[in-house]
Amino acid sequence: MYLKNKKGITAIVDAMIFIIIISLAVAALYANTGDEEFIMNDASDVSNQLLSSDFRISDLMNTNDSSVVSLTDLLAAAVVTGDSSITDYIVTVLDALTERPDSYLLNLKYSGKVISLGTGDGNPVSGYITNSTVTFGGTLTFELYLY
Amino acid sequence: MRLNKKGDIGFPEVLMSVMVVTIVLSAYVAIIAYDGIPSNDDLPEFDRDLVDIIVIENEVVTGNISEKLIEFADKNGYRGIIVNCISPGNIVDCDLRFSVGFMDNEITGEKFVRSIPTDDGRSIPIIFEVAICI
Repeated sequence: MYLKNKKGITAIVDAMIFIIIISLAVAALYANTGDEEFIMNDASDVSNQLLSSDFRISDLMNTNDSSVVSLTDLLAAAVVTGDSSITDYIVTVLDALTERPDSYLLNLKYSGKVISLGTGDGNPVSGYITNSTVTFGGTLTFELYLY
Repeated sequence: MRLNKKGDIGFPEVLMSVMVVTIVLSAYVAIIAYDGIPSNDDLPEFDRDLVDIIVIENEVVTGNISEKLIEFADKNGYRGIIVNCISPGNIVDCDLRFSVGFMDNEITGEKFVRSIPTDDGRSIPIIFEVAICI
């Protein structure tokens, strides 16, 4: 290809650079447009609301004991005894709240034992760790991650 | 680079002008692109304190927040709001649903949990589903 007029090559290069920059800007504009229709929950708000709850023991366990206890105490007991009725309830609440698979991870630690509920996928959008005093001694570590 | 009194420009001048134009255009387009990116700050947020008057009496979630929803919608210019309540695990009966205005435009949604007091000293987590039409 023989260029008839070499002076025009600069203008062509200029135009090509301009087109490339515009294309990158448009791509960046639409690449960042995510799912904006749903507001995510904050892990600290969810954790505090759950830990401030109180239940009758008979609400969550198969027993006639109607003593009112905090969810903290019930979760600590569940970690120690391995009772699944209380952790099943927490899973029900978090499943109803998030409605997506792999959208939360909850670690409960008490007296050297750990229970993990849910599976997280990717980087958490929100996370919160708190220690809650258990009535019958020790502290329960409540570690919640929302994805 | 030699200046030319006749007004002609040589290759170095053209190269400089290309670089200046490219930098200025990039900055301009980047500013426009950044302003155009939608963020979560633009989404309408529901005032979660509106559900503070909801209580649980005789194992049933009760309360009426319709008037507060109407005020909230009017104040923020929303066309409509729907609020649904769910009791996970059916610990208590929860059949509340509030609907004000119209839901015929863009809708945003959120779900949140609140620990609702009962009349017998408990606090039960209740999930609220909110849809706002803007």
